[in-house]
Amino acid sequence: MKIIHAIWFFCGHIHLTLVIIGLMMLDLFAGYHPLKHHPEFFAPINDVGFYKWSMTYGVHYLKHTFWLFMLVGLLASLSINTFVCTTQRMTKLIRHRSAFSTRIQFVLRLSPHIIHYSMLLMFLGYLISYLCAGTHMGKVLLPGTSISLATPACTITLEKLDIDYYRGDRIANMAKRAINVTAVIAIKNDHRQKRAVLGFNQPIYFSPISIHLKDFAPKTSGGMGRRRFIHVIIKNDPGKYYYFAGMLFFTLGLFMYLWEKRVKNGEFKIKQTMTQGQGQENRL
Amino acid sequence: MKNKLVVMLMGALLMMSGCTSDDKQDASETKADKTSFMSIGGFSVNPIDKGWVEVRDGAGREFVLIPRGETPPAGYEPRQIIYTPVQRVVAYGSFDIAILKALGVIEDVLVGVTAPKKEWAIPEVVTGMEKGKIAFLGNYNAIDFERLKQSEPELVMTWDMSIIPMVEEMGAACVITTTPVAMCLNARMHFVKFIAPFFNREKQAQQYFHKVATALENIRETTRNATDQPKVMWGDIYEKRVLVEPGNAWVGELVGLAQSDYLFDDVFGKSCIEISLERFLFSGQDAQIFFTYRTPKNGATSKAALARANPMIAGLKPLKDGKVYSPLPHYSQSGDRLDEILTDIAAIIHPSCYPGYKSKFFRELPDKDPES
Repeated sequence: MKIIHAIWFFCGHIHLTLVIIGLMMLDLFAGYHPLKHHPEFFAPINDVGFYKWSMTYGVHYLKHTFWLFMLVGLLASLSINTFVCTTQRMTKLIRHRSAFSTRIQFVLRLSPHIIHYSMLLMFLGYLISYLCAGTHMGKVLLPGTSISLATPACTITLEKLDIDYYRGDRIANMAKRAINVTAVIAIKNDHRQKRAVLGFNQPIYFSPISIHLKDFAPKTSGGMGRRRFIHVIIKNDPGKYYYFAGMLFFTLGLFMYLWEKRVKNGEFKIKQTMTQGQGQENRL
Repeated sequence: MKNKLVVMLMGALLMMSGCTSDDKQDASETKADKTSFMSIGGFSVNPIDKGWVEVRDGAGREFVLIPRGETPPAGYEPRQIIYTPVQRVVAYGSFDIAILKALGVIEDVLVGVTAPKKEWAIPEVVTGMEKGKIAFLGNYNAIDFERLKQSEPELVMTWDMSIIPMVEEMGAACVITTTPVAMCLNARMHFVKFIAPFFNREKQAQQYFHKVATALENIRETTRNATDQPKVMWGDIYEKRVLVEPGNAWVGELVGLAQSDYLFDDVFGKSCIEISLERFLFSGQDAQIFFTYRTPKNGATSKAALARANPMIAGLKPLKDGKVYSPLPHYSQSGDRLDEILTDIAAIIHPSCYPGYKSKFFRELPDKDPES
């Protein structure tokens, strides 16, 4: 029992945090060179998932990828360390909740721990994404055409494609260049259907998939007269719910933390005014 | 003590971080077993099981190559299955077609191209078109899909993603053979190993690779003691666009390997990448050698003709007192002779290292066109 206790406290110790962060810095320093000079070894992680990537690129180019495996290990250690440390602090706070004058004060004091738990939730989301997400690469849609997915079963149709080209003459290099693209997409399966606008940084969600715009053509108006199309990436990523939830709780924790600081600041100012007032009374 | 420990740890991490050159990697890959995974720029080849090979094309799409007559493995969509050796191919890119030639399958498998007969310098393509075995399918932006269908391709090798839906509807596989980022020298040399498994020609691919790797090693040895480091630029100015080969492209890397200074070394991206006019003209002030994209057919007959076509480049140093080289028409279709192309470029950059060498793929532009 004592050993478990000792391990538990070791895992949550701040010195361990500092060591892990120090090692992470060294590891990232080592990873800078391979990542800069061989991005082609790392880009496929998003498409094929971490497990398959490890078995192919990861293992065969270990000289360039070892740092990423180490980083995953260090992130796992940091997650354990954060979880244990935060849980230790939480249990202490709950044990001494009667020391707080109001319940709201107690709840606000939990804010840094909510932030830490949210961070862990986001880490978990990314882990699930890299391990379990399915990606359909190289899906091309021409206006009026459809593609069908087997898993999950659905049909995606490009109903309309609008590409805005620069029409001004103030920026000569931009003449006739595409400046914005929007695609009206219809998605349907046996149970429901959806019509939405797809753009850059404007994905479409149709649970459980999300559709992301990767490329389009033509990039210039006139000229060679290339065929109009969009290239989309379709993701089925169960991890997204976790990191969206994590982000939500992180924001909540951050607001609670700022509120607590504000309350504390207010109390401090009241105290300061009271002390100054008392001093003046004493002088009088 | 702690400081020493940190320094040692950092040293160890740096040593492991792959600072060695890719050439050593090439050498080890030459010896490598053909059944190992290989990343080739944006492409990959992954032998999986029972002689099946999983490949990833330039758009990140995965296919599985399985010997004819075998049952397709589970877990793949029908469009991902390609039976080998592939017997009927339509190819867009001249480099792809040159690689088919290097693998010794061009006469057997090529059934369609996107350039008319008069534009071909590859004898096998010209003969195939004369015999009616190879069809001209229309220009890349106006493909005649009826003719494409009549060619009954099993595989279409293209850079144009917009044809994927139509090709897949025909029941053929469509493989993208370009990547969003220019092929580096290493990828250019290895590309043949991506194409080879489609035709069960791994041995020929290895021979081709060995030939190019040897040429590269010879270039390194020959230019090792070159006294000067000429400044080189590769690109051109068109009506509204300035296009150059970026530093990450194979030509940029080759120039650096041949003990010279590539002036667009800091530019990163796809082949024929667009840069600003100012950047191009700035580099042109220092350049000694200028490789233009234009062939004699496109107006690159002399320095004066280039300057006439585009007065803005008249001020470039190579046009005034340097050297300007234009690719000969067969250059872009000679990917099967990559070793000779690399040697040609090295000899142009360092003529003193290659006395008496006569260029096969480029022509040095005279100051003026000969008077007729």
